[in-house]
Amino acid sequence: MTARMSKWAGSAVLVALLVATLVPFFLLIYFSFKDQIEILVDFWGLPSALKWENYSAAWDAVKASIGHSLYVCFVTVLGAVLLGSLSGFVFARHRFPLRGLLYLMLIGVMMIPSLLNIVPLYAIINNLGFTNSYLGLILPYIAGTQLLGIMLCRTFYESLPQELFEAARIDGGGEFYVYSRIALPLSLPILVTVAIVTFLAVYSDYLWPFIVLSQEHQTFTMAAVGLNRSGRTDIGLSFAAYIVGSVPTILLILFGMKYYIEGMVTGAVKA
Amino acid sequence: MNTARWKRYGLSYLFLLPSFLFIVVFLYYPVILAFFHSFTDWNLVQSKWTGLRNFRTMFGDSSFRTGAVNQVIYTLTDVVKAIVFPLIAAELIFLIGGPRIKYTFRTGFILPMLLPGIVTILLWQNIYDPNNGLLNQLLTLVGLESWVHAWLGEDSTALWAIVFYNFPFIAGLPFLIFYAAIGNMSQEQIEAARIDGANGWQVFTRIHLPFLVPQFKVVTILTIIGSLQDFVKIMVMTGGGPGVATTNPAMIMYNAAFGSSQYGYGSAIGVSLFLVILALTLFNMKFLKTDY
Repeated sequence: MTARMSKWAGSAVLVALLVATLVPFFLLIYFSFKDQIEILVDFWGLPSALKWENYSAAWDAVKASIGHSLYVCFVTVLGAVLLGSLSGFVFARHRFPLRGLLYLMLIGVMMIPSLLNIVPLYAIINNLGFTNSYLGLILPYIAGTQLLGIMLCRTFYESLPQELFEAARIDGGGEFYVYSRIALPLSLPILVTVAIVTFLAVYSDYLWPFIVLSQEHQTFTMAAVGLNRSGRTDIGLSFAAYIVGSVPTILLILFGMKYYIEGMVTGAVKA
Repeated sequence: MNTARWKRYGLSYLFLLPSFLFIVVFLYYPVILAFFHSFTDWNLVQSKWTGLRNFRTMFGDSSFRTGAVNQVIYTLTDVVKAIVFPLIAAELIFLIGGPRIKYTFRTGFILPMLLPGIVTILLWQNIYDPNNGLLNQLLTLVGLESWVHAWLGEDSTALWAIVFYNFPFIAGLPFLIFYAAIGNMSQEQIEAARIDGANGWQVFTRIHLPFLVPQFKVVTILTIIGSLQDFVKIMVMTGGGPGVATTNPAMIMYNAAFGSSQYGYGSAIGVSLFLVILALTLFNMKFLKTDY
């Protein structure tokens, strides 16, 4: 086989793989513009007109749940970013007894499979009276998601020149001043990575909200599955709802692709 | 601790307190609870010590054995899925050259990652739908009506329908890992081999594959650990059915705890899976250690 032929064959395979990868994606968009009759009777046919009303109905069906998801995501991200940077700062800049052991405790926790914790964590949330409350989601989420922040911030703060912090101390700033006025602003790019990875993980989670929350407090992922269960009747509407609910993740990944991939790869490889 | 020491170190501990409060209460304490209650009959309020009964129940349960066999199938296929197509895609992208083309294909392959995972699961459930699913419609279109199935509803097809979920398995972390590694390869060695007369296949098998061994190890171990814990797609697509045809141990754990309030039994299954994962992780650290 000549080089040119193999290149041609390679391209053909690649295009086939890409098409196969994107088929569900196109199906999602295509069917979101069809109504139920058109899907049942004429599966392949073009919609007679774009059914934008699918989207307005879908918006009504999922807007409350998207609000719940966004609220949970924002509070979790805030917690993860603050705790991650604060503890990362301490591990990078302070010397104190048991420092190594405590850091090992943080890293060690990543070895615990989340599966093991589902049942007992539910018991804890239940005993605290947080079932069917967003706290039951947010508190465990913060506990887990702060770890990536601690790791990344520690590495970052260690790379900064010590003089920077010394100068602030000499000027009379306390430790909290040094952290909040020097360390925190400088680490903004790292914190963006942490925020994006955290937001996407929390927004996409289905299992934990499904266990903890009731229908009236449901998150978007719960609403999506719910639509599918009851909603065999209207695929177009369901698909439009999936797209509407994906807007936050789509926007976040498009704008923060670099940060997202960096955080994901770091998190996966270090875990 | 005397006051001088406390003054010196107290602030460090004070700053760490919130983080550790979260970690101890929501990560370490549950582990202790899980281990303790795996030996009990537990309804979240009260528990009764039952020794190893939960573990005996587990091994004596025929649906658990089915789930364990399914898990072996899921895990083996998950590893193959994580390596074969993502590697082919990453290799081919570099074969066909051109930065613009590279960028287009890479972006195309990771496009489905824009959707929350649950949306992809729901889409695939729809693809397998007996009446207006893409797969049956496609078979009908090309005249293969006899191949039409209720893919997720029949004993003989449900498990493989779940295995083929997300075909061709490229959108995801393994693809990014392989893509990054191939991009970082030194081109001089490959050029030298080319000049010596090596063809594309030889370059791939003699240079690329050995170079990628660390990535294969990382992807394999991450995939196995993920595979053992993965049951949301089973839960949403089939609920483990029909019967127990697609169930796995994690799914049985979930059903035991949240379906029939056997929290002790659920904990025992969780602990067992944890021990398997721990053994694999230690094996990985000892024998497959990589610098990646």
